[in-house]
Parts: sequence; structure tokens; C-alpha cells
Amino acid sequence: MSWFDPYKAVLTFLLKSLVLGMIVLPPYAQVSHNQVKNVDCFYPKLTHSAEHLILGISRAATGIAPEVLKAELGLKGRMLNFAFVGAVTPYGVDYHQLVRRKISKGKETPVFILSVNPDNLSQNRYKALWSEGAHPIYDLFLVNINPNVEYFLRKIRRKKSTILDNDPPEKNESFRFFEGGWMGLKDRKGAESLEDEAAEIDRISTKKIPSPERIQALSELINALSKRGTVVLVRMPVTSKVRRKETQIFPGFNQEMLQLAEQYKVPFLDYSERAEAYSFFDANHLNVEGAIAFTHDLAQDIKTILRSDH
Amino acid sequence: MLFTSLDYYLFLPIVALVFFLTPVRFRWAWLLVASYYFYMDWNPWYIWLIVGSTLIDYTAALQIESAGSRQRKKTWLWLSIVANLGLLFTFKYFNFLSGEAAKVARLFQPAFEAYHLDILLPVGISFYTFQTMAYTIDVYKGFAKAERHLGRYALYVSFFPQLVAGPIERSRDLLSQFHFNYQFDYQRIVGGLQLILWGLFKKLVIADRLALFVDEVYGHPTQYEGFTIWLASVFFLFQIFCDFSAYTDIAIGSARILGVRLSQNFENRVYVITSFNKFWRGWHITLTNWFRDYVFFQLTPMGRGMAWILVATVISFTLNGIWHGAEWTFLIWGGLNGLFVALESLLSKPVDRGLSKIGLPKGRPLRWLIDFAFFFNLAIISIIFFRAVDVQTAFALISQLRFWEPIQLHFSIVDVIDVREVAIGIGALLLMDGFHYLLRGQRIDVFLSQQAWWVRWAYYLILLHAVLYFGMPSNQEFIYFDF
Repeated sequence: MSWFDPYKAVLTFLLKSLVLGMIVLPPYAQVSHNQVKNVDCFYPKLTHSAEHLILGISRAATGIAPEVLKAELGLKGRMLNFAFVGAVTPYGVDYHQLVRRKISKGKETPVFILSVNPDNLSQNRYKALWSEGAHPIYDLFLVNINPNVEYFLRKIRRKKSTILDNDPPEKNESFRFFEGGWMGLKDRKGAESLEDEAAEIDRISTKKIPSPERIQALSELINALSKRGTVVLVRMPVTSKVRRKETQIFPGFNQEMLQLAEQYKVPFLDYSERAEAYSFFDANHLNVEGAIAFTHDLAQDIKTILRSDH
Repeated sequence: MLFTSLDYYLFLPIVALVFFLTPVRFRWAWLLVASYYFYMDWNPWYIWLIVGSTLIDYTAALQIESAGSRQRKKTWLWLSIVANLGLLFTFKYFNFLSGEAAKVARLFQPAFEAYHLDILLPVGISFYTFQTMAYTIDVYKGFAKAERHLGRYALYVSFFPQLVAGPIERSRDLLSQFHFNYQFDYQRIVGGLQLILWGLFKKLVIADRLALFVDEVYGHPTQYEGFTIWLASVFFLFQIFCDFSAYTDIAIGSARILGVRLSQNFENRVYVITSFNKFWRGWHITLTNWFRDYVFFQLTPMGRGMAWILVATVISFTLNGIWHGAEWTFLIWGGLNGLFVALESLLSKPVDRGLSKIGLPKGRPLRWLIDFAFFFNLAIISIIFFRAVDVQTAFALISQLRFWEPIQLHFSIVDVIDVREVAIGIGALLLMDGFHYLLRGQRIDVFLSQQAWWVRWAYYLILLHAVLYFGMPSNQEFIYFDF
């Protein structure tokens, strides 16, 4: 065997692997992309970086419309609603690292809307701290690529095989997907669902305790983001029942947030007692109309703050 | 790190690339680092169990080899065995035995509480402890030489392709391959990848899909009866075959890429059961051989009669069952299989003579069909114990089998299980069996290397597309990780 043989073998192997990959992966990426882009609320958030970000859990994912906010604030760069759900993106070390990977540098001063509430700053007493880190989105190496083949290969939101899985959990009549990662909720749940939901809120609230570690993580996130741009802390509107429960779980929540706001010189906007101004899908999520109205109000308040800062 | 996860397919090429770039004399060190990392990705603390087991058996084997007296050799051998079985007992069997002892104690003292160790079962413990025990026993018996290189021995215990679910390798087979003087060999690497692809197909397309049906029926045993339970049990037989043989294929394929040849653990069409003796020669071969060599042969020295041999067979298989887990169900499953093997050994000749007299000698299609119907269904009954959550459930399921009732699926299962998924599972099973039939006992890589280029490319394209489009999400662990 000459010295040339192993190198020739390596080259042959790499070339054939490349051809095989080119035949198989692009069609797979295209099929998967077409299938999930309008039905999977996680996927659109993991395909692009953005200059301006909206962070938080499902209240922010459904309640803040990035395109509306961007237009009202006159921003030119991409704004992404990068909020997921309570089990995936409470404030913590994992979410913090993921957020850092999503930010792209632009010409504008970036705006970061951080939705805060007792839910995403508490800890489930029956789960390990930072248990959200086990969610597969935190395994992703690629979070800013379109189509995101890694997302498909990991089958992150899928319970069945790809081409048969035409009923992912989000694809029902209640959801609409909009530009910028916003998940709009239509109308309002029926009365029966609302009763179930009230029982669910009671059940979940017994499991939650305030988390100093999560507040510390939020503090570090504000510190990091405020060095890059404008940070706004927002407490989203919720129904009075949820507000009361949250006050029971986390009595000093607003004081904690005000302290953080003071420490980092960022605004804290509390809309949690303005439920009557907006329409809801359920007890703690705005519907599409509510979200648009709320985003307009939020934009006006941010503009006022930015003007007064200047 | 699961063999079906994307992370493994980033890990393996990196390990292979660095392996081929590393000078031969340091390759063992790289593979040891990679193997420890592979294990620590699951639980970093339990690596100390592997390190402890490695050091004990390494020392014991050297001491056995250098000991002047038989008594001293025996002392070191027992030290190794007690250490390994002690590990296994503590992590795998203590809570079960404590619970069972407490049940007895409660007959006399109703308030008696069982002592429970709050520990996680270390992945692969049953595999690596059996491998290391075999090593010291072989050194004691003079069948193998003690390894002097601690690093190579540590790699023998922890070699990542076979660390968590076998094959259980003998030191004389595996350690001798750890010189690592391998070049990049195109055929070997492609062969390894062909095996890995086949494993992924069996696991993601077949095993995890059949699990949907099996889990539903076994999860609600009182809701189903008759044919539905039988079908779920048949599916479970195929699920466990596809799951475990897939793990083995990926393990063998990964090792082949690194130049190491691991043992076969399954015959291709072992699920076509026409004899229990034949079945156990092709099912989890390395474990069955372990029990044959280190239990059965020890129990049956020369001069023992047939009756004792049959008893020893039942004992060996019962221990094989217990090896799978600390549950009565596993014990019964093992015991039943031992009994079937023993009875077949005892009765096969007279039965064969009787059937030949009525025109059904071996080789006739009708005879084959009778054998298959009989042995396959016996295997199905025994495997219910393997899958059921407890003995009561297993007996309840068996009592609901009712072979005499019409073949009809329970009406409610189609509401719970997507029929398309089951249809794809069955289609994939047929594809697998057809391919196994074509192989005629050959290894996949050997078979494919004899085919035209377009056959190999058809194999790659069909399987890759099947895995991508029909593969279930890869977060389901391999069944044998629990043992």
C-alpha cells in the first residue's frame, strides 16, 4: 500500500458522503420546513437572529406583537418575539445563554422587552432548579439558520414521524402565527375550558415558590443587555384571579422588580392591573385583539420613556 | 448520549477523526477519554463506579496471575467477584430485596417499613460488571492473561460502543484488538456505517413505532383482551429484538470504524422461533454464552446425570432472567425459558419420532408450521412476563389471551393508536424480514460489499429517507439501558 492510498480513501469517502448528504438533506429540510413553519410556534424563533428581542414566557409570546412594536417605535432592524412557554424559558442561565446567541449587531440601539411576572421568576418546588435546561431547544447548536435542519433532525416538537405528524399541538383553531415569532390566540376559550383553567391555576400555584436564583439570573441578564441597548421590564396584563394568585405566591414581586429597575436604571412598566383594557384568550393570555391593543399602549409608553431619557 | 441522538453523530466522527490523527501508541488514551466522556454525559458521578471496578479487577487479575498458591489465587478471585456482585446488589437488587423482606416482616409487624436506598441504577452496570467478572475468572482459570497496561484494561471495561448495553466481550477477544495499529480503511468504515444505518432504521422506524401499540395495551391491561393482547405481545417481541439488535448494530458499527470487531449478539431471523434451543443460540448471544460458561458449566461437571443437567439449565436461565432486573416477572420469564429449553432437550427426540410416524418428519412445511406455531406462541406467553409491570398483571394478560376467540382487534384501540403508524411499523417489519432473508446469515456489510454499486446506494437512500421521514423522535432510550 502506498502512502497515497489512505488519503485517496479519505477523499473518496468524503466525496461520496457529501453526494449522499446533498441528495438526502435538502429535500428533507424543505419538506420539514414547509410542514412546520405555520404550525410550530417554536420553529420560527430558531431560524434568525434579531437586533431587538422580546423575552419571557407564553404571556409575552402571545401578548406582544413585534411587528406592531417595531412600526410604532420606528425601528428598522429585525425584532423577534423570543418568548416561549413557562416550562422552557423562565429566566435562568440556559435562557440567558440562548438569548446571547440570538442577538445580532445592527446600526440601531437595540430594544429588549423583558416580560417579568411571578411565574417566570419562581421555582416549581417539585422540580430541580434549572430543569428547563433539559429541554431539547437548549441542545441546539444552530439557532439562527433558515431552514434549521438541526431542529428537524432533533424532532424537537414532534411526537410522531415527520411526514405523518400533521397535527402538532399548536395546529388547532385557536392559534395564528405572525411574523417575528408572535403566536396570536384567537377569540376566547369556552366557559367549560375556563373552569378547567381556574382549577389549573389553583393547582399550579400550589407548586410555585419565589426563586432568588431566577431573580439573580434576571439581574445578570438585565446587566448584560443594558450594556448593549435599551431594556424595558414589563409585567403583562392578567385577569384579576391570576393577579390575586400571583400576589399570594410572590407578595413582594413588584418591589423586587422596582429594585432591579432602580439598580440598572431601566423602566419597569406594570400592566397587571389593567385587565379591563384588553381582551383575553384565557386568564393569563391576551388574544390577538388584546395583544395588538396592548402592544400599541406599550409602544406609546416606551416612546415616552425614550423621549424623557433624551 | 443515546446512539440515536444527533449528538452521538457529532461525537463519533470527532472521536474517529482524532483517533486516526493520533499516533498509534496514544490511541488507547484518546479512546479512554472519549469513553469516559460518553458515560459522564449521562451521569458524571457514576464514572467512579467504573473506575473502582476497573482498579479492583485489574489488581485482582495481576495478583491471581502472580500468586504462588491456589488459595491466594482463590482469595483474589472471590474479592473480585464479591466486589462486582456487591456493586450490582447495591444498585440493582437491594431495594427489591428490602421491599420483599419488608412484606414478610409485615406479616408479623404490620408497621414495618422497608429500607430504601435513594439511588439511580447506573446505566450499563450489569454489562460491565459481568465483563470484568468474566475477565478475572478467565485469568484464574488460565484462559486469559492478566493485562499489565492499566490504560488498556480501563478501556476494555469502558469502551464506549459497548459500555452501556454490550455485547459482553471476553478479554481474549477485545483486549487483543487494543493495539490500534489501524489505518483509515474505506471498506471497514463504510461497513461500520452500513451497520449503524441499519440499526437506526430498526430502532427509530420499527421498535419505537411498535412501542406505541405495546405501551397502550400493556399500560391499560384491563381494557384489552384476546387478539389485541396477543398482537401487542408479538409486537413487543419484535420491538425488543429491533431495539436491542439495533443498539448492537450501532455498537458494532461504531467499533468497526475504530478498527475493533465486536461479537454478534443476535442472529438475523432469530424471531422465527421453531425451537427454544435454537432461539437461545441466536438471542443475546454474549449473555447466554456468559451464563453457559460461568454458571451452567460450573454446575454440571463431568459425570452428572441428565436430570441434574436439566435442573442446571433452569437455574442458569432463571439467573439470566434475574440479570435483567430485580422483579419477579424477570425471574419467571427466565425460569420459564429454562424450563422450555430443558423440556425441549428432554422431549424433542421422542416427539420427533412420534411425528415422523404420522408423516410429519422435520423438513416438511407443515411440520415447520406446527413447530413455529407452538414455539412462537410459547415465547409470546413467556415474554408477557418480561413486559408486564408485575406478576399479577402478567397472569391477568395471559388469562385474557383466549386463543379460541375470533381474530379481532379491540374496537377502542383504533381511537388511541394511529392506524397509519401501525401500518408503517408492519411494513417496515416486513422490509426488515425480507432483507434478513436475503442476507442468509451473512453480515450486512459483507452482503452489500458483494452487490452492485446501485444496490448499495438504494440501501443508503431507502434507509436514510425512512429514518428521516418515518423515524420516531429519538428521545426513547434503548430498552436494555434499564438492565
